[in-house]
Amino acid sequence: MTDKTDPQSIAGKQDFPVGGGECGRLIRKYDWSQTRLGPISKWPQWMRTSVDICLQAPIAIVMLFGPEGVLVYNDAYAAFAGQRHPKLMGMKVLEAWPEAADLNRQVLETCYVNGETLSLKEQPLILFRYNNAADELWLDLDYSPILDETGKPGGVLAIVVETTDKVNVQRTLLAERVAVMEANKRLSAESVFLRDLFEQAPSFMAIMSGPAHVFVLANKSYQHLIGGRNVVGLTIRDALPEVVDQGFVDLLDKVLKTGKPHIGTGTRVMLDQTVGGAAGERFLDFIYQPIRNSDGMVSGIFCEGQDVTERTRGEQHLRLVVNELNHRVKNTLAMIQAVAAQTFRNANDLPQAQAAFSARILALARANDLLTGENWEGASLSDIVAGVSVAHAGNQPDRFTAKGPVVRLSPKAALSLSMAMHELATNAVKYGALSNDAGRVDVIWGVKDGRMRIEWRESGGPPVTAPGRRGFGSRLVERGLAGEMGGKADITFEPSGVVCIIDAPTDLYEGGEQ
Amino acid sequence: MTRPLRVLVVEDEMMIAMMLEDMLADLGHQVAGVAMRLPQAMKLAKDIEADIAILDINLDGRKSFPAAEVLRERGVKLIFASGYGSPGLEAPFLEEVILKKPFEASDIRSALKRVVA
Repeated sequence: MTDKTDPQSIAGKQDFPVGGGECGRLIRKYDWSQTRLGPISKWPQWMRTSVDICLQAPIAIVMLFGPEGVLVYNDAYAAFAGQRHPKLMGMKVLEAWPEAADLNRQVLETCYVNGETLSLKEQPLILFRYNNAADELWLDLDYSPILDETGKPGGVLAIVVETTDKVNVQRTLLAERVAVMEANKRLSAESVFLRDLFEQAPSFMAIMSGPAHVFVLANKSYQHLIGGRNVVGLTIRDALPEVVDQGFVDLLDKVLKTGKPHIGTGTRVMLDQTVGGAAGERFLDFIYQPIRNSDGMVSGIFCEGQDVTERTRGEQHLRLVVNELNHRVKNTLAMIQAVAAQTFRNANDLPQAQAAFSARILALARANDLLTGENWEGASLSDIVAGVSVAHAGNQPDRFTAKGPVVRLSPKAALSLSMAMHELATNAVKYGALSNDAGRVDVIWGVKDGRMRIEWRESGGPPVTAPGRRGFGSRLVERGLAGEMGGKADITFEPSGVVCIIDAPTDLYEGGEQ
Repeated sequence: MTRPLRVLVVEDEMMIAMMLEDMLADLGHQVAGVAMRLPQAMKLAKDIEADIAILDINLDGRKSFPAAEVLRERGVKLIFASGYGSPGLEAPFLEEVILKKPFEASDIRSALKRVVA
């Protein structure tokens, strides 16, 4: 047996470690005597076993032997180490990876000195593996002590799993998730913004869904329009029963059926202002716009519009005023025609007739002014008398007095009375109390037992003689004014002065008959 | 000139009523009466002796049709006068003669002719 050397044992000693790829060859060739581990042939069995296990493993394993952590590793680890391999083999760990010295000090302390394990998951590290360039990577690192024959830590075994790709994927996923969350937040803010916009829009808006037209949304303006009623979730028939007979449900049905929008301009609608309360008239500009779903089918109707009631009423009023104005202009022309016809009818003296015509037209214009100032709603008797006074005794107001209670006359009565008093005053200036320096006119009126009495009394003028022929003025007062006021009007030519008494029922002139 | 007619004038504008009276007189007719408001017109319509009535449709905001009805019942022929912007004729008077304001004596003459013809 002595001459027979155990080939296996010799081969084992010479060829240790067996296999192990590139790193196995490197370890076999390496001059370990330079290191603290000493020549490889002297390595104790626990180290050899560890090296074998390491070299046979398909995952990256590095071993740190001795207190300095002299590195021995396998091919998988060499691949991980990049261009730092093969110089790493046999180096002290702190010198081998100076950029990770802090971590490795901790490793030696924990595993080699204290004999404990250390597990680091997704440990970020910056290593210089290729072309001296910083390389950020993520590692799962598991360190455990390697025990010698005495059971004390003789080294540290480290399993290195690079998780950079996984971490990067996770980071990408996280970034995407954050982006999605931000997008969601933005969308949600946008939707709040749109909802607020819808809610606060000055035009009224509502969305109705399906053939029964169920309210899905109705903004504040819409609710205001319908008297604050809550309609969401109700069919239009239940929500706004008063519009059914006004044709609006038929319109909605038509829009739903044809898919064509309906536009209403100044459309009149009666809307209850409270639940079951009184209906109010509104005028609306609105559109019923069909809403199509992704299949192109009309699934609902968007209703949007504006309450144009005030504008419409303004327009109606304006139309009324324009019509009224046209009527009045034509009427005034007819009156001028009548005045002209009667002024020139029996005129013996043309210049005199022209002057009288002109004065009558002016009287008509004054009465018009008075009524326009009152918005053509009528005039007070005292204003009419004052107008006549200013026109005929303007510079001597004390010669023309007026006294009586407040009496309102209809526009027609006011106009007729103005014209009649113009005739009386003209006569007074020409022949009566205002033709000298001393005479005066007193107009007194009163209301008693449903009748009004107006007295025109001249005094202090030249002696009066009754005219041979009744002129236009007399006729206007006695026939025209009497007819207009629905009563009697008498002119008497008393020697002391002209007296005119008008007696009329109040129910006719007060505008009560309108 | 046809025979003199007795004409009732129903017109709410004092001046126009007076002009109408003059025009009728000039045409040789007789003014049977003048009413300027509906109550007076109703009163006259019941017993006035007239052949023809010329009625303004609008009497200070009220329509003259009630008086026209009474007059027609009594066999009085009707002519309606209408101003611009005034309401038009209503049933049962849609076929009656209309005298448009403003009018001249010749307009009255032809209107009277149509009615008595």
